[in-house]
Amino acid sequence: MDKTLLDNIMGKVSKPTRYMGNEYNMVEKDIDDINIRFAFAFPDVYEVGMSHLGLKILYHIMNERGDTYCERVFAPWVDMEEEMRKTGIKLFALETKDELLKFDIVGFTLQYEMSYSNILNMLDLAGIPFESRDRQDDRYPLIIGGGPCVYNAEPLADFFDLFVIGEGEEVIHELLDLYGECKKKGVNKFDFLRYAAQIPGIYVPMFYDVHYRDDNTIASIQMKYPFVPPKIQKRIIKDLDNAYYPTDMIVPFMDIVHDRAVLEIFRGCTRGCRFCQAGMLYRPVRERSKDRLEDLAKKIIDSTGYNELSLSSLSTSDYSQLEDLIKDLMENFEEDRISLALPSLRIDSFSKEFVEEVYKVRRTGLTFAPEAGTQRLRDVINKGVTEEDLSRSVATAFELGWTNIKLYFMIGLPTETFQDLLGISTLARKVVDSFYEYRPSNINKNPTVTISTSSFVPKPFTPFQWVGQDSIAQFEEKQEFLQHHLRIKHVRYDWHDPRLSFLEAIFARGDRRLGKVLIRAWELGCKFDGWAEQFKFDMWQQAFKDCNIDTYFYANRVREQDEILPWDHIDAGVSKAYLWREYERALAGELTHDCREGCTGCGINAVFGGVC
Amino acid sequence: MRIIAKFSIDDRVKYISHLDTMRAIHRGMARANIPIEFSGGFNPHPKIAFAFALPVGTTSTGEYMDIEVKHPMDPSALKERVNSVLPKGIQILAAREIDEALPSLTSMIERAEYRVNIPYLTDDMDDFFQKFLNQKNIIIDKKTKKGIRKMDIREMIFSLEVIKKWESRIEFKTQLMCAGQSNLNPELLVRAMAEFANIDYAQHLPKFHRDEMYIYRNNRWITPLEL
Repeated sequence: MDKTLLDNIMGKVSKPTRYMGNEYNMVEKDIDDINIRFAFAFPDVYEVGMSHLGLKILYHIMNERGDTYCERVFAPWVDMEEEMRKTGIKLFALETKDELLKFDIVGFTLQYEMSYSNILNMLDLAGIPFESRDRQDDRYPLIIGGGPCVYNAEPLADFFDLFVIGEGEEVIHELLDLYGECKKKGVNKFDFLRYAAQIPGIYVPMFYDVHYRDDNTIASIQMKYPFVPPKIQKRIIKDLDNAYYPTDMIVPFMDIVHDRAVLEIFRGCTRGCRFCQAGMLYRPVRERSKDRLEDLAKKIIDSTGYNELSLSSLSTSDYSQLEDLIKDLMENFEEDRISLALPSLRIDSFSKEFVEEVYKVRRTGLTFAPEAGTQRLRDVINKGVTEEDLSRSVATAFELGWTNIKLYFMIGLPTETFQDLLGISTLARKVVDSFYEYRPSNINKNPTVTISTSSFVPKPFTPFQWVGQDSIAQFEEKQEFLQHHLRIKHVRYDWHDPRLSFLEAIFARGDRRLGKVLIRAWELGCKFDGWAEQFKFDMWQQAFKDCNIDTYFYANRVREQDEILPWDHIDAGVSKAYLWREYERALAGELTHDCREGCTGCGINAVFGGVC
Repeated sequence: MRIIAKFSIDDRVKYISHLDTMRAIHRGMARANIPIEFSGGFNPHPKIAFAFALPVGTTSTGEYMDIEVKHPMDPSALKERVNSVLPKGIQILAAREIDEALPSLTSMIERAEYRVNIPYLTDDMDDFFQKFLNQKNIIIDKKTKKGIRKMDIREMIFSLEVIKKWESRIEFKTQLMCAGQSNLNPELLVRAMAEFANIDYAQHLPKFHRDEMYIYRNNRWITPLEL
């Protein structure tokens, strides 16, 4: 890499810190002492990628190894890409500024479907051919993927050499051990993949064939070789308490999306909300002990200097010893002005004492997620919170002096009617009234109640995986309806672009035939689709048309019970029978209790044993 | 107790913004367990005042911060402790206690000294600088939030001299106005020179380095560390 050239272009682009590296706690190694060079690739900009916990864990876990050097690479923003293409600078990793072609493995994390176009763009900027079959010789790094989207990564099957299904902490060592051995022995790529496919949790898509019927549904998913498993079972960390967790996390210079220390308190969720993919994928629930968390918290704060610690999980209030944990942490941290952040707090767990404790040092915005406007619909999705829960939480927040509250809903949920949407506006009105009833006498401000709606996207491995998504026109009609009914004093309404949710639905439940659409969309200039100013929906429509792909088939069609789904050869632990049962209960409006109150039979304990 | 520290920003981290620098130092102070005084209010912040933002892309061996610590400590211990936990590329060069009654650093500093590396704009750069400074007015376009505004920078340039020559580039040293009411970014100076020489600025990427800041006190120019 010509560093003067790089220096010159960095002087011209916006936010050059994105490409600079050299942050505190960045790992430096002598590449002559290294056998495996791994590039952890996040297909979005630096400030998004650096906020991601999986990157922090895997970066440090790999760098603990003497034989491996893990570096980072992010999607360059469009201005940087333009300069790179103009000057011939290839995509490089932040640590050594070496180009990706020099690496053994490039590992992409697949966090959201709308980053897929960036993966192709990054491969192109690196000078790496898109399709796995065009990368047979060892000039090219191995391209691997992990993260939640790998549970159905079929639209990316042509581009990746292998996927890691499930939690990476253990698998990554088995994979790197194998790679290191194979590299020393000069094993070719096919044989390496053959061996890799024997590691539980490793999915090599080229070893499977998918056949389709005339109606475009899948006829069969077949193993091409006898040495691959018929189903790839996800991997999990059984003993989370003793699992590796980094304490010397990189501290970025620039203001990233979540600019604070993160402590993952537990994995999984017992609630069983029927729309929630994470709730199904990350089962079973595994907690870290309070002692371990307090020890980690202290070490993380000492080694990063952050003044805010976020307790992360899918549903923070479900941690079994949360009140004790928070009390202890606050005792340790209050003097040093370190505040706690508790994202994902449930409405039904928001008590006055608790909130006062948490927000002693610094006060942040409050968001509640009722998800749906009526009890009927909240029961359909098994959200399990009531209007009383919301009223009580909101009243508490106002009593404690909050004036800004955000309520988050989804529109387009199964069985939704306009009555349910009216329920959103009724709730908004009640929240505003509640402010004037409960605000302390010293607060003379008016409240701001923000209602935010996203468009429901049916996801694989959820009870709603068979559901047809609302059309864009239906979403727009619902948004207009809400705009009209949310013209309420002190209420703001914002909504997500339904066209993006439509694409998300296509790719979330897509199959291998969508790979060519991704290439075509990339050719037409699609990238950074999640960024409103870059999103080119007309080009996506063009790409589907050019590839002869019927989007209705993927996004809006209701799937049959006996249909082979593109992800049926992936085993996430929850059984298809359980998901179907939950789907039927949803349509009947029946609640399913939290699995801490008794097993609901999802199948995860049959796979991994133990109580969950 | 009030401590003034001089610090540097080198090539490795020169693209960080002023805010980034402040954050990096706040966090370094926290990692080093320096008992920094905090402001009150809903969002308390550490009491460290940074003198004049360094333009992005500029290296420096002459940055200053003004630190309030809760209880007395040895300034050189602060320097050692913080340096061991700062990101590579940022370093405290010196630290000393100053009188708490003195006004803020920003209100005392009036000038900054830079070294600038540029290609030859003409064959005889000494002569060029002479002619450049002999202009009565040097009018430039300054981009502000409200749009582009004309500004005369002649009175903001106090010295200008070539200090090194290579085959195709030179390095010059310059003292520029750097004060609360008016502050001349050396980039604007180089743009004005390029315009005077009738040369396209964009093709001649200059490199900037800030060396020092100066305060006028008791009829002489001193550095903040000499307060």
